[in-house]
Amino acid sequence: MHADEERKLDGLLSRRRLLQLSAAGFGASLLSGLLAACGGDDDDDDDDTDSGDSGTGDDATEVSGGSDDAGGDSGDAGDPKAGGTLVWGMGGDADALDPHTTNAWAAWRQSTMMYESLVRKDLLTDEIPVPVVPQLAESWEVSDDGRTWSFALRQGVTFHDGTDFNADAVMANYERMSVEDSPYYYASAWHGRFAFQYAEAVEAPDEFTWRITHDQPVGEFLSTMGDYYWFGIASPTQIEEVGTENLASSPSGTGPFRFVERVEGQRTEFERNEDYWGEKAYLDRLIVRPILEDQARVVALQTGEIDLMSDPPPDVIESLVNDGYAMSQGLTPQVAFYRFQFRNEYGGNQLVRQAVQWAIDREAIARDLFRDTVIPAYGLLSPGAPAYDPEWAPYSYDPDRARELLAEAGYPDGFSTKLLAAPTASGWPQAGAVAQFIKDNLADVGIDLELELTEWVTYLGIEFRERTDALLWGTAWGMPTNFFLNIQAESRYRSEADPGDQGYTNVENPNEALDELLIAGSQATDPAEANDLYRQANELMCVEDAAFLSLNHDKLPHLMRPEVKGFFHSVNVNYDMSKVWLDE
Amino acid sequence: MVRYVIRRLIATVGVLWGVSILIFAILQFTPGDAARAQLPSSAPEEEVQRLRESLGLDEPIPVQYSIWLQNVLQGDFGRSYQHRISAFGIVKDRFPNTMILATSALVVSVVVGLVIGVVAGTRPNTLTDRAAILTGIVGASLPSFWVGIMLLIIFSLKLGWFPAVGMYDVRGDGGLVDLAHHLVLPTITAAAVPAAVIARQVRSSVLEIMNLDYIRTARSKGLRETTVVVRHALRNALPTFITIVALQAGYLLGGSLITEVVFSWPGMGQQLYTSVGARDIPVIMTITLLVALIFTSLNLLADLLQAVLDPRVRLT
Repeated sequence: MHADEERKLDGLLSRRRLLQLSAAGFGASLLSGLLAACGGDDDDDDDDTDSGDSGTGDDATEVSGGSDDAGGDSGDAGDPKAGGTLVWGMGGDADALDPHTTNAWAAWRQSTMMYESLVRKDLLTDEIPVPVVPQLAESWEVSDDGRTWSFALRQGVTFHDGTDFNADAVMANYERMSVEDSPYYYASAWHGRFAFQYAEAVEAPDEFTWRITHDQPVGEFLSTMGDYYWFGIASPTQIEEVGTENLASSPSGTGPFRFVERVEGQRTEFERNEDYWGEKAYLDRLIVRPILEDQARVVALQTGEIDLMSDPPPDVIESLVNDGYAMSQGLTPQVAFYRFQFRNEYGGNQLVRQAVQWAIDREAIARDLFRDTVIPAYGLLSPGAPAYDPEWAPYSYDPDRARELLAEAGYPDGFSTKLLAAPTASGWPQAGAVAQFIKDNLADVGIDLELELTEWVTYLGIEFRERTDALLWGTAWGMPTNFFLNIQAESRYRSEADPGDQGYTNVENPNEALDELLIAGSQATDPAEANDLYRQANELMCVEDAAFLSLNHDKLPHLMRPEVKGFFHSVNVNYDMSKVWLDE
Repeated sequence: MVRYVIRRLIATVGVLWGVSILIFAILQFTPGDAARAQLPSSAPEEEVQRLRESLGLDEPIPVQYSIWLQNVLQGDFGRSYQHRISAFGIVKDRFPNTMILATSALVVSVVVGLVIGVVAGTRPNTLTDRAAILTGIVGASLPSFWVGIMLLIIFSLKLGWFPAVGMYDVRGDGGLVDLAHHLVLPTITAAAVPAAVIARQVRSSVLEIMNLDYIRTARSKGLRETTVVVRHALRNALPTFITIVALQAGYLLGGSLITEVVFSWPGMGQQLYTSVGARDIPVIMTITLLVALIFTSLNLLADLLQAVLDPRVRLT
């Protein structure tokens, strides 16, 4: 099974590479989006449906099952049937069912069912870069200078509470995040402040047009708007009625599922939105259950208490697949990486950082520790980001080379230092085992690492001065946008006062060459040019300066009963659950 | 007696106040920042600072505490940082679930503990006694986590007798039978330690009492052994028994944290587990205060019962 999967993945990577070379990145998808949008309402729906039907992921999303028809996507099991209740067990609980404030995967996945944004990254394709497709906006235009984005909004859409969707609704949601004196404003709705940071003027010139003008070109704007549903549009009437702070307990969007109830710690229930403007969901009901304990979640799948399971422990996957359960996994915009501490004597040495890169056996981590539920990573651009290049592998496992570099750096006999990691981090439960693996790898080249493993929030709060003792500290996340690199390493987002500052580049002491690439990349209006700039930045950050030690990209496996069909693994962390159906 | 109760109630207020200061202080001294915990790890400091201000976390710690205290005195326990809804509402929803599990586990542990304790205590140094002692030691030493997982694997997965997670079948309409079915495994897991502790305590008091003169007198009067044990020995073992049961009840109501996490039982223990992970101060404070209140009340109740049962105890 392992070799087969490997081949499958190889096939898909080269196909992706081809796609990337031929599609000229982002441009083609933007253009196709525009063309589709120009065709009017009906065409849009067709376009959406098409991607749903054709995006079966036959060769990109890996699907395994005990029998031929036990697949994890809609392409291999006859015609979809409507009806039934699906129970989805997740390893974490949603913090708040409010797309503007949440910070948890579990909540994003649930928001996606209820809320829609103006545009979204296509959840029904494995194409990279992921195309942006229309949602509550039917089409969009960008001015020649790349500063003004205009969205033509879909007409005839109603929110779950019956309110009509229009430009005022979009404005209310914008104000909730960004306009402090608006009655809709909510300080915890922080996502938009980042995405709208360059906004100069935001207006609704007519009932179905929403326009935003930035003080500089923002090439990544559309891509950012399509990410994660952070700009899920909530009913303004609902916000007024329940109070802007209480939207989490009474969500109301326009999505294919509507909120029924949430019983804290037990379940959140959704039902099909019968008035949905697009293709209606197949499932009658969808119930999400948080089951924090890994073993209990596995047993619950086996006893039929849940139908679909997120976050399976890698060790159980093979045996469950052999028992007939279906598994779906694929590339995801996530990267597990460590930062080097530049104020540490060793971390401040470029040769030492490069040596560490060669000393780590990334392939073995993916194969032995994660059972091929991840792929090796070398930079911070993750799958889903337009500039991500799956062929790019600047390092291999070469301990001899590492020893040479260490000797050149003046440490022929190695040295002792610390590594910090948080094994309880959500989305990276294996962090402790990874840290141990790195310790073993580095011991082979003479570096003695003392592991300091703490609980996640403690880890986040560990004082900066303590971090200077450590060579490396790790985290795992990512975004399907190139702008992730700016967030990680553009100097103006970093400060010496920030506990996450590694001393590599910050506002007090910027790395000017890197800033130049990142800023130019974010402003470039030609996607191919932007991708090229970001790839150069990635190379500078992760190879030449070797400031980050990237390890792997998660494939976010999901296990499900064989009767669950139509679950499509998007190049994202959330999925289009309206296409899921039950074959029973 | 009334004055005693009033004095104890005043003392309870003092205890709760002390607990609130202690927990608040511990949360402040624990590394980790509630605002940072709500944002992604790479969120810029400016954004963290803005959230900190909106949550009032930028005020000096004594000021934060006094604001919290004033609000609590007015019945406002604050808003959960993590869930952005009322902290009291969250705890109010969770409390009955913990009550159900704790009551069921307490009943089981009292019955099992009492039976094992009496059987062992009245047959000292026999095979039965040794088996009971061994069971008690094993029961008290096995970690709940392990017991829970083992029960899941055996009774849920292999035998299919009981469901693995939650309080109700989410596809069904709930109901008492469904609840009872879901309650079995968590109850056994949560009851294991208290049952062992109670059994050990009951055994040693019964053993001690059975050697006293009045028991010999009772036997020599020709009373049946059951009457001797139940009417004479147990009656005198009651005060110790009540104290130990009250302590175990407090422990169970405090949220059998591990049991709740293993079985996804939506009680206060499970909530505390996630809230501590998120430094959700309003929720942590509300739960700990409630647990402290329950604990002190149960102790007071036990002391009052002692006085009722044993006229020699005077409450002044």
